[in-house]
Amino acid sequence: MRTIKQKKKGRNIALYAVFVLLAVILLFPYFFMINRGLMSNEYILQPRTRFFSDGLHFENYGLAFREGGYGKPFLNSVIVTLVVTVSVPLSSFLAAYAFARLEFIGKNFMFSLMMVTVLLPSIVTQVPMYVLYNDLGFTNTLKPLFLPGIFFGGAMNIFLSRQFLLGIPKALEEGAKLDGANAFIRCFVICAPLCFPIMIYLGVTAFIGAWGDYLTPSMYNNSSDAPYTLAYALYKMTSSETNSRHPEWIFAAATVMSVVPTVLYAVFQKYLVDGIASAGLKG
Amino acid sequence: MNGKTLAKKIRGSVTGWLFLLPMTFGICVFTLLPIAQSLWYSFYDYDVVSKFDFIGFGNYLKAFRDPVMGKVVGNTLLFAVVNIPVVMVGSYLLALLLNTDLKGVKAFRVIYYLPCVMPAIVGGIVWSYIMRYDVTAENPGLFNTILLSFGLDQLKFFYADSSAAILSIVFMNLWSLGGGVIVWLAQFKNIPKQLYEAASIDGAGSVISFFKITLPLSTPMIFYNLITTFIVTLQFNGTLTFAPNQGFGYENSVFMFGLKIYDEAFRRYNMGYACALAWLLVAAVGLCTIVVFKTDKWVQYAND
Repeated sequence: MRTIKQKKKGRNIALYAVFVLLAVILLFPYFFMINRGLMSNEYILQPRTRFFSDGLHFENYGLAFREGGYGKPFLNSVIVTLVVTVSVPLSSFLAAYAFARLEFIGKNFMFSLMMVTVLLPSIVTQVPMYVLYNDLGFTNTLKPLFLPGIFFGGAMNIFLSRQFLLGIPKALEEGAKLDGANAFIRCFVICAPLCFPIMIYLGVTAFIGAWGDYLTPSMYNNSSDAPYTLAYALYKMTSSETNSRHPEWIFAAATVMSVVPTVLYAVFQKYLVDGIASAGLKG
Repeated sequence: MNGKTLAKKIRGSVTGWLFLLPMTFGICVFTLLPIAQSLWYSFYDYDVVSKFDFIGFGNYLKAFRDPVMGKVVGNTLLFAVVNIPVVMVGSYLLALLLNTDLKGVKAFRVIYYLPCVMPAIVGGIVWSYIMRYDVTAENPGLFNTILLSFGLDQLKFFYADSSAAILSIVFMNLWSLGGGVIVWLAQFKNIPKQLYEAASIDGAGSVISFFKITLPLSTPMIFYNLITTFIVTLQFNGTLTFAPNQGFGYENSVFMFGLKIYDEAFRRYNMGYACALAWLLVAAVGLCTIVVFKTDKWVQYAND
């Protein structure tokens, strides 16, 4: 008996060792990035990589955002992500409520139509979207970055919200219905708060997606006087002259760029994990 | 149906459609209309500004004559063939490892997922510095500094002008292996515990119960992941964030199909050609998906 216990203990220690080793390897790029963001200009321009050996230059953060050109993009990113984080859950929930609770002509057809859009590679729609935005005068503004989400929050998001709503007893709405509450009030006053786990999932994933998106701006928002987002500013900066003179700034900005989603993920990880798991399993 | 229920149904429909109005507008303007336009543009020589000439299948034929296309398709296929199995098997093994109730395992799951919330551009910047190759060996990246300090030769990673560059992207992708783990773990949780209990009473060890229970019952998920990973991989244009030469790599060594479409559309403004390329990709993806679906005998659905 004792040998089995010992064997188990040995196996657990080995498992922990593997876990810790993997964690160290996976976290290393963060460490590397933070280190380079805190290096002095003199040290970072030398080829040798050193780790925190010339003090911590927190002033890099201020300099990157004031002189390195990341200040305005940061504000633009805040605007875009705020709009997206609010609008995607709301627009998705509105459609999900109709699919889960209301009876109307054409419901099944619309539901199938929506689900078909999951299969479509986004690469097909990019060129016509550019033409549309160009015709409307929306290119080189922030509009293309949040406009689609205001109307259509994504088929998977609507589907997940619908599934979540189906799990909530209808009886909870009956009382309000008798009191004369209309469907809109029942949707947002009664159901939405009960669905907060999925709402948080939608909001956080929408935020993380928009925050890190460099590709959409590179297509629709790329002229030199356009309002860049932080992700796109970083993307542009990698090949710029400023970057070769002040590589520490790009790492300081990259650190800020990754801290935000990391904190969100850490705070809401339970909802995110549940959402990702059900998106994977039900899809 | 009498008049009263019909009236009720119509009234209900008004409410329902009011709720669906934003989504319907969104799908029409941001999905359906662009799909139709994309197909239409693919038959034109179109540069947004001045040219809009009908050229029939010219754009599609051009794709087969384009001298860089052989390289692009080869790179994309090589990337898919190596990346998909590595990422799927890797994340599956990682999930198996994490599928214990040891204390603190939850914290590790959180840490392993972290690279997936890191913005792609940040990952690109960091990895391109870590894996940087410098011909003169004056300013190498971290990996090459280590190699040089041991007196070894530098590795070129994605600065290589050969297919080794593609392999180094797969290596880089190992960093975000934790992304698939969540779904695998959720799938493991769905496997009834009684099966394992019954197996262990019958004297089956953990290896046998893995091959007889866990693996067969994960096949629906493996199937689903295979298809989604495949679709994403064929469209991959992430080399933009880290590879030299505007994402092409030296000698186009990492030039893939997703980037080809992006390059034609948003750098050269060959909009018609870009649309034709996108439809060729859709056709290829659709064809492969059908093949995978036709050969799904190895998938064990729960109700079989």
